[in-house]
Amino acid sequence: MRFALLGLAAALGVAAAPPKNIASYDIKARYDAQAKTIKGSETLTWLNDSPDTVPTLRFHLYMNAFKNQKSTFMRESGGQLRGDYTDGKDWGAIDIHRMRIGAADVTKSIRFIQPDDGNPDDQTVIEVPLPQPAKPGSTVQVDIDFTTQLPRVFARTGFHGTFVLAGQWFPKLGVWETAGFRYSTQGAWNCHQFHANSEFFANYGRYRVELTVPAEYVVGATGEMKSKNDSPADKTATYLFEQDYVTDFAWTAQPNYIRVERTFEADRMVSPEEIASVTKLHGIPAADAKLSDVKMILLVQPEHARQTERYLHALASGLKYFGLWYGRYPHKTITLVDPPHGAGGAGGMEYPTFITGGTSFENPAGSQSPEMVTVHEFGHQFWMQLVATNEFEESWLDEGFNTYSTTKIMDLVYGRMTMPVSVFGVNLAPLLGLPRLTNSAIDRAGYLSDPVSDNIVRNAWQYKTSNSYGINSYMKTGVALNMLERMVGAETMARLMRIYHQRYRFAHPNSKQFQQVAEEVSGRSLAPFFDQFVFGHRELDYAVESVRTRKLGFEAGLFDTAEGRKSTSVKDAEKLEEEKGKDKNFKPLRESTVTVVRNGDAVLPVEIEVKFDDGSVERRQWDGEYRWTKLVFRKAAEVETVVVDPQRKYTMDLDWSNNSWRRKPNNALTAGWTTRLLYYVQSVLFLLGGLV
Amino acid sequence: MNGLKALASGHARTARTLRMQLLMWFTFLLLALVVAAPLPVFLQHRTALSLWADDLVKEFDAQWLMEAGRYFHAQPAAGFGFSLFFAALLAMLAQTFFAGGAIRLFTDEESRYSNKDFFRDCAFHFWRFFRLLLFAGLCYAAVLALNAALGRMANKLWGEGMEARPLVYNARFRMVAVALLLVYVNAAMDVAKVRIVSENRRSAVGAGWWGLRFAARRYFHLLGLYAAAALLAVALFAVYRAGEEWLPRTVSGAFLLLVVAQIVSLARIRLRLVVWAGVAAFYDAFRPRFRPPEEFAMVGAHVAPAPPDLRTEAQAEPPPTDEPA
Repeated sequence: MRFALLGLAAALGVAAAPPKNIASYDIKARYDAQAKTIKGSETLTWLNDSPDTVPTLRFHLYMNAFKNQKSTFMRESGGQLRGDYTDGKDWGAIDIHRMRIGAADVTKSIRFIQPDDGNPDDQTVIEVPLPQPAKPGSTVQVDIDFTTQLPRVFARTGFHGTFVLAGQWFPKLGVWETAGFRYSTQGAWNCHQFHANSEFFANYGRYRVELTVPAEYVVGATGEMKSKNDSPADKTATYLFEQDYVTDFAWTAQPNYIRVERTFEADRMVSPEEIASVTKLHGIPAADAKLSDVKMILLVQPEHARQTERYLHALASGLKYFGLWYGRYPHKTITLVDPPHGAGGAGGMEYPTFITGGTSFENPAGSQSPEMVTVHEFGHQFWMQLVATNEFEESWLDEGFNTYSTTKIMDLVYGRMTMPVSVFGVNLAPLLGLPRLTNSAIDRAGYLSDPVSDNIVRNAWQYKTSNSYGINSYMKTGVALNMLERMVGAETMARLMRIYHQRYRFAHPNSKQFQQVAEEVSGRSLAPFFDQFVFGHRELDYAVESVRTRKLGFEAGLFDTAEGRKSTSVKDAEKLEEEKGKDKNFKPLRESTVTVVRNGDAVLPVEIEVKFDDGSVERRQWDGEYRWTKLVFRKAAEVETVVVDPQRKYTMDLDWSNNSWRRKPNNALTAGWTTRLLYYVQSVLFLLGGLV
Repeated sequence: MNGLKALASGHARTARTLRMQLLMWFTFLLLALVVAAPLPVFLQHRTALSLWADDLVKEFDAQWLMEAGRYFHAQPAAGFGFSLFFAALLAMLAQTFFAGGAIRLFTDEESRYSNKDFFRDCAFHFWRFFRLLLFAGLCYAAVLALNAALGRMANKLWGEGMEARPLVYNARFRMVAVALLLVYVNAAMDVAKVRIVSENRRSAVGAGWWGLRFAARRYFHLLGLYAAAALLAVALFAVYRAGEEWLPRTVSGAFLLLVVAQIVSLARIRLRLVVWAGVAAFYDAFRPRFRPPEEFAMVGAHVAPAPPDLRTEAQAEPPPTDEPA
């Protein structure tokens, strides 16, 4: 009740930041389909929303990451990202031809800087001094003419055949962080170089983009399409897209996209009961819980047309559950792009109101592959866009939160996943009896593959390995948040996640602010959790080490009784016990000693449940502070089972096998699995022997 | 003779070879046991005393695998792979060894199984069959190389394209083509074994080439036999899978599954023998026969040997014959 009241109080204290366009872009761009270049002119309007006087501007020139092998991105990635390789021929780059700030041409004062690693060959960040330092509250207008050479699709962006996906394609301003903003102690630009293991960070802004492409191209982009003007003279078409309160702009074009448009009808997709449960849980009016209609636009490859409904169903599921859980999706459109074969590097990526999925030809049903990637990329609208965290420095706040949310939706909507063992488009997995896995089990399995190499929170490019970046940013966070949910309770977790989202919608929170909300809503200190597993990398592993039982018989020796000192010989004691043992109803007193140990260095209080063969159950709390604890029970019953953390709250425990103990081994497991393995090994031997 | 007739003939020829089948089944079981034996030790040590075992009995859990892998630093997986590799090598050698004895039985329909004869024939043909095994390895490698070359060609043609469809269809075509070619090589090597045994050929490579030519000429006849056997193998797997699905997940259920699995395994052994015997039947039906020269036959028809003169107590001479002594 106390927690519920605290949660309610916190809910009432939700103060969503009013949206503010800080860095707005007005871009005119023309795509040359032959040269794979984009010629653009951009007008940036930046509002100095800080109390600082700012002397310089810093811009990201992300596309220069693909300029040559000396860039920081290429050095870190080795030309490989998420299994996708650069072709080593079609490099990408961005050139600024002219930059004017107000009336002053500052082109010549542009200089490349490398704030992260000092790599002099990296050209992904520029700094330019302002002719006049920007006063607090003032706006700065910057006009930039640029040309972007697209690479062959790699690391989210580029061309492949007639397909183009333009991401990170224009000069983009960094974020001025004043003292007190996130972790800043003094005003400074937050404008990191483009790293292999990192995504992005930007202010909100209004984007107005006029895009000219060859007339036959079908186009999709961030925001709403306001107009399309054909120019028969040069066989081009110019599209105008606009969107307020977003952090980026990406677009795609391809002549033979199949464009499918459908409306997410909120009243039809969400039942009144579902709305009622949200209003009840969060103590909010139904009007706040209700979702709004959204235009879903799918640009799908002709050879994937049969997967259209799978894509749209997944997108609608995302709109529904993210909306119900964290607040309605506020934009009018969401565009989902299905990249073609060979452009996998452009798949599975998120931009504001614009996401890319990914599937394969004749992807078998049950594999959940287009569904999962769609739900996940849509989820970024909530954890990257509506709450715009710094993915360079705290990737978990986006990727990990999104993994946690995606997993919940996938397990809820789609259930267990079938492993795709496809032969001629037929999935043989069910016939072969392959296990079907939940997404949460997959997350935990991924986490266990490298659980403690790094803290969850770390600069994205400073994890031990790229694998560690992936595990910490995605699966480990998913598991950690799942554990937090079990620690504070599912309802409290639902409330704190919504409150965090609502409080920082259109803002840029950090990890500490999430912790603060979690503690505020749960009404308890969560420092042990955050310090050990989010800001630290402790190993959590409780184990039942041993259970020893001994009969407490009639012991021999000298005993002082009311009748005086009495002597019992060992022989007499044994005889007495033997006689008692003949009575079938006699149950000798036993002393059972249960030893529970903490194998890891993480300390959390834990529950220990001991069941006896007479049906009685004993539960004890252990603070876990010391390395081990012994629980001693004197009863006329034998210990049947011991379980540490019986509710499996601690999903980050590295070894669940040792969390419990049973007196009688489960021989069915050993017998069953050995029989199966034996058969399959025999089959392999027959198969290979059959070749002879 | 077609595939089904060959299968039926093979079935008849293997009818009285239960002891041989049991011997082969037992050999393969022993090899499989060597690979699988560490699992119960591993499970009893790590999981059987855990309550998680109750969940794992119902369904395999990837988390358990990751935990176990982490706990043992993936050493069991490496050990398993290593022992499986060696067991597979031994299985191939065992099959090579048994083939001589088995095929000898199938090429001579009158002979009966005896341990002595069987092992004698196994030993007699082993080195010839071993050389044939090496030759077969080259043929299989050629098939795989062809598959890889076709794959590379497809990648060159369509790999840069925006559609996966041609690559997928190409992969499917290759899958079928490779399967058919593997059947071809397998059938040819079986024919070669039959030729080596029935005609006491020393040259394994020569028999191998001869088998390839024979199998090429009668490919579709042989394919029928191998396709029928493959279907039966799938049916046997289905029987096992049904047992896996429906038998209770208890110790007694596991015992019943073990029985089902071993009956299925024995049937698989029998199936392999049926294929060898079927190929022997094919060989009998299609092998080139020795035809005596015409004039020799004519002489034989017109000039009868004079009967022995018993009155002078001369020794009788046996009449000339085509049959080898």
